[in-house]
Amino acid sequence: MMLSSSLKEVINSLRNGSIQSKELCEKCIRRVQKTRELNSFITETLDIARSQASESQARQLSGSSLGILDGVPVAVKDNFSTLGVQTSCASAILKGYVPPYNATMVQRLLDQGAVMMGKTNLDEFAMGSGSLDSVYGPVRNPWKYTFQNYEANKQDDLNKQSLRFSNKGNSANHKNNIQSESIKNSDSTNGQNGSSGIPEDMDVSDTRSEECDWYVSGGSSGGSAVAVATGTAFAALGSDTGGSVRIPASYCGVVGFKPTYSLLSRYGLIPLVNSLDVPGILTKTVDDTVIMLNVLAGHDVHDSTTMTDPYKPVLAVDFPEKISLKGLHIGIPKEYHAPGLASDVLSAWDKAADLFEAHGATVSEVSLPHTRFSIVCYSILCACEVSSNMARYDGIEFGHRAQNADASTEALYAASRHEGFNDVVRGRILAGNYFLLNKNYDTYFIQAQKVRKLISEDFACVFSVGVDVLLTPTTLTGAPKYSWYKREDNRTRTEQQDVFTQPINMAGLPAVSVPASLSDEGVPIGLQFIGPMFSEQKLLTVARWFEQQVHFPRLSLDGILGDL
Amino acid sequence: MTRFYVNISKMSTWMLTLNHRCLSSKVPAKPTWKQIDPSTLPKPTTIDEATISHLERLALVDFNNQEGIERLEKAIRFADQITLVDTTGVQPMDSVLESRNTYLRKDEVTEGNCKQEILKNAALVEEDYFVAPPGNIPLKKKEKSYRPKT
Repeated sequence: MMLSSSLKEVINSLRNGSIQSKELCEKCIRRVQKTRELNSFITETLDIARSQASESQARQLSGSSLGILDGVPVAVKDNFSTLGVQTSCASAILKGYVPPYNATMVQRLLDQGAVMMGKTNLDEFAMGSGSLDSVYGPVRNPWKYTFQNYEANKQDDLNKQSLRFSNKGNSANHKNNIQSESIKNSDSTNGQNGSSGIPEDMDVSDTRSEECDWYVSGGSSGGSAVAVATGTAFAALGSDTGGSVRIPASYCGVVGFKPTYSLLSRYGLIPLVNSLDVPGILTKTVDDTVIMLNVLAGHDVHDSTTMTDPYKPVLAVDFPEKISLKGLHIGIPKEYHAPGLASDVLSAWDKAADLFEAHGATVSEVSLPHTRFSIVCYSILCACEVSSNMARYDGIEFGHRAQNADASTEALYAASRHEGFNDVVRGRILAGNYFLLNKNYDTYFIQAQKVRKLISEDFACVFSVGVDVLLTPTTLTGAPKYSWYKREDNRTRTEQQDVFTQPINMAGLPAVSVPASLSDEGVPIGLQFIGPMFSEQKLLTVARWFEQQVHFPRLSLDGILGDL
Repeated sequence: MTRFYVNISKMSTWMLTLNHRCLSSKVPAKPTWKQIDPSTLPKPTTIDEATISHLERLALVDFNNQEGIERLEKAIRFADQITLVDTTGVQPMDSVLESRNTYLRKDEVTEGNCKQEILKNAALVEEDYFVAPPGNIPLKKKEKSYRPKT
């Protein structure tokens, strides 16, 4: 049971002595080893974890503590610099790169006594929405995943499950052990966009026949989302440039939080798009996110873009059922019913809106007219900043250096970069260079910056007329299958997957994806709450209220993996 | 329309609401926009050989193959939609902090003396130096085209 506990629960267990740091760490290590086929970690730091846990236990026994996270296993996305531990960004060009310092986010976790289990997998340089384009191979979603090595243990559980589950059509395919009663989002009305939680071009019969198919974890922080969902860590750091924390959170059934730009330090986070990047938090519950945020937030002298006002901690809500929604105004931006929205996602969104209204909140339709152009704007700004940011990788000072390319400096740069970057990264660098050519600069780059202003003003406008929080889907569909996802390239999938998430980065707003229901296929669907800048207290309180209303079934692998 | 809430132990009531669309729902029932009609966009861009080698020299990455060129052409086609937005009188936005003062620290040395740590990550060093091949030599032009011969 311990590994499916929330961060808050495990902190309590450590405090009241019902578990000690070393034992907890060993449980997580066994889970890391048993879930290796999901490929959520690039580097496991099990020895470091053991020694940190041992130090934590010594403190525990002597009655001292470094902080709230003392002894708690956490995971860190492999684009946060970690002193003495490889930080690769899932790219060949940084294979073997060992930073001489910790990112501020990592340092703040360690200062609280957290135990680092490892560095999690991602799309190369965080460019992607599926966590498939990593030089270390794709991350797999644990939901409905068939663990090759634990078939025998699972069979028993499957039998029990089929009794508890009324799964239409695909019960034979249902292979997870879900803790507590879970409810399928059994919407019998045919939706407006096809009849299931998958886009129309997905040939279900084709993918079902493939024994080895699995669900995509979402990206780019897929490894961190999977680490939290599987219980190898009780919280994880991700990064969010256009949805990279919220998308995998939605697909893996965990909470994914993107803070207001400037609230969390980017120092030591290897940049993708400096003006959009924020560190993000993945946890099982909203309360857990609040705990992490309060540890991580606040000014950092190493990042001049962090806010200098003293950070006011978010107060956790002890009795969410007692929250009154009177006076709360929820906005439903109509443009978020975009082409391709799956009927089961629409249904979850619809029900959530009704739920708020039924409990006394004001719910109204609002308009963010430039939403549809946001993903276009994002594709340009992202490519431009990437082409500039990636210029640092030349093979000379750090990272991969090509062999036999010593004819000239430029020949060495070109050869190292050819060998070190994948097609996706090279594609964005070239596109960025194209948009920034003198003849294109105004047409694409400056025009995109102007559109960004309009997108940002759209949000400012709805918040200025009294809307407190916006409610939207996080993604168009529930977690898609690998075989379907791979039918289009990374560029195309990012255009589709990031449509609801990247406008929030454009405006620097806080947003959180909260698991809401299961898709027709039985995989998680998340909904997104968006607030004005620095509205974390209200945003997370609303998210907490919603969470306790829906009782989303927490994934538990305790039975399947046969341990503990 | 009547709402039915079913209470089954911990099960959440909202997912079990039987009539899932109630009359008051504020979520639009149909998509509120359509994909853009390509005929409203500028002519699709074809990347010529001169641009290919110019971009490769600027970017110091190569297109690798025909697919790489198509990827760029598709990215440009997608980006062309940005021209449909009327931005008359709008100021370009660089950062969400444009209206705030960002922090400037004092111009003082606060850390350093980490030469060995820095050099450790280089594949090739000589004494305390990074090693680079001769500079100021332009990248050799590619001899063959990525495009299939027509």
